[in-house]
Amino acid sequence: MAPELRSNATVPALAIRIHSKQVVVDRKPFGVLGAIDLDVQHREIVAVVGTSGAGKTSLLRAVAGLDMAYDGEIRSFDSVITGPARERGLVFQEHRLMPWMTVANNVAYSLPSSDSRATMRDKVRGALELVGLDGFENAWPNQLSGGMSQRASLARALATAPEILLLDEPLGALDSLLRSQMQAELERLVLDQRLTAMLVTHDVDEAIVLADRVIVMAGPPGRVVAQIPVELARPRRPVDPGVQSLRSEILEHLHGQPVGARQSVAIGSDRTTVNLAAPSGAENDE
Amino acid sequence: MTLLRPEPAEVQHPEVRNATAPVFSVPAGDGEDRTTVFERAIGGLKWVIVPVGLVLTWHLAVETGAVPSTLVANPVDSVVRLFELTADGTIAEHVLASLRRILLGFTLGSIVGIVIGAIIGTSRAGARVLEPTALTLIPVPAVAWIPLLVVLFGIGEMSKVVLVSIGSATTLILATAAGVRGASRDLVEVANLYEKSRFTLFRTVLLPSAVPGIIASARVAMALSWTLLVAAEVIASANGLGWFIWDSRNFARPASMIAGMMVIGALGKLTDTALARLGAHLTRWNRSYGS
Repeated sequence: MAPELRSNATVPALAIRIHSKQVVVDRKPFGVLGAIDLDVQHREIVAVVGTSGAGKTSLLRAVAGLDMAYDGEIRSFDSVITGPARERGLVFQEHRLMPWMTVANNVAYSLPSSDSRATMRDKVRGALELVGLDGFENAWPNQLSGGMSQRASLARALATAPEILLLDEPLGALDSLLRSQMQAELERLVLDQRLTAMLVTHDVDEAIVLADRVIVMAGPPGRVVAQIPVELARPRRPVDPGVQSLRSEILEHLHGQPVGARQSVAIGSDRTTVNLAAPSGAENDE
Repeated sequence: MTLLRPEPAEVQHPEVRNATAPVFSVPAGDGEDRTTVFERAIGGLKWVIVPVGLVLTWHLAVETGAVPSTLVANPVDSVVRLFELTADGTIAEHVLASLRRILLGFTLGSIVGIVIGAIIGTSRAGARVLEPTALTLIPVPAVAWIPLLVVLFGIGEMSKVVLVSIGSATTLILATAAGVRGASRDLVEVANLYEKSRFTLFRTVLLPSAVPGIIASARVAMALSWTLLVAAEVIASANGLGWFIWDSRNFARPASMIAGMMVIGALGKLTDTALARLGAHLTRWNRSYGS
């Protein structure tokens, strides 16, 4: 990692200049992403919301370096992203732990093999403490609950001490109670560790509660239709008036039109109705 | 007013009450004890009924003359002979010869089978080169190799070890290839995310995915190995348990013949149990229906 870059706040942590990304579906070209021009500042938390097919996950995978098949260029602290790197940690929607490895070995999996055993042990212990999983080093993933599995997955991404944390609906599979609890933990973690974070989510409330800026995407082909700064004091709660008015604004962008009265009422009382904007909320976009 | 109250908490739904009962036990009706005097007397020994019945039938068949006692020994004589053969060291020689062949052949064959299966499963080029040949050879009954192997290697150790190897390898190739191919793309992506080498990907994702299937097939391979070994020893050998039971038949020693069969059965069970234990250890992370 490049420590001199940590202090350099003038260079954006991520400079995304994508012209397009196309795949072939049914022997016809299909535009997954359109032109996307987006900067993420150092230590900024951005949330990307959008309907299914808006290209949120495609964008995040491109930033992670897992998917390089696009036209354009993404720079991280001024170096072009050509593949995955440990300075960009990624948490998937599913925990994706190796079932045959203990929690400690799963967390250590993100570390380079050049690390000594002692270094690995320290980094693993530190990451597990961060997510509150200390004491579960020798547990098997199958023995963990959904929330604990996602914590272990987060610990794996954090063990490498990344500059940038990429989160692809990491709380999407959790129930709403656990979800709001984990949101608070995630917020504390990202702020304490002074991370730059990019969070893809279906949950507009989650986006507003966690992010400094909410990026609204629409598609296909995926493009940014709005960027809404969130200048509310932390910690935020979904019932705060400021959060509620931002939610209405974001939902209008998601629908591409003013939100009807019926939906506003429903949305005001129940956060799960966010799924109105994203009918297939439980599945992966791409 | 009291009529409107919900049911008191201690009145539970009948299904809830039985929630901790073992899945396969038949729940007894209220207050009714369905166990009979016989069941209580025999307790946890229900499993002995069938073997004891079989041995009794065998004994009576020989003693009543339904089966000529010159050709088939009764169970008592067979067990007595087993002790004699164990005491004078006769059986040890054959046990060692057979065990050596089977362990050598099975280990070699398993390694070859897992390596070929892994190549077919991981590499497209490897699959193109090896898979057609493998798919042609695998269905050939391994016993059909015996004449050729005897011609090539004679009746010494080599022919038996190679035969057992062929049986084990052909059994494990497909299980390994299928297991490796069945590995989760999501987990492979995790390996790619952390820039693991192809070998590390194989060691940490592909091979562990294949382990449950490999273990199941290894047990089949071990059973086949015993079949092949005994067949080969009957046909072409100068020692070993297969040779011993066939020799006992030829020289009209029915008790020795059956004692030899008992030893083969016991060793077969022993090797299977060892593999099952190994498998349980290697898949201790697994939480599936059967584990």
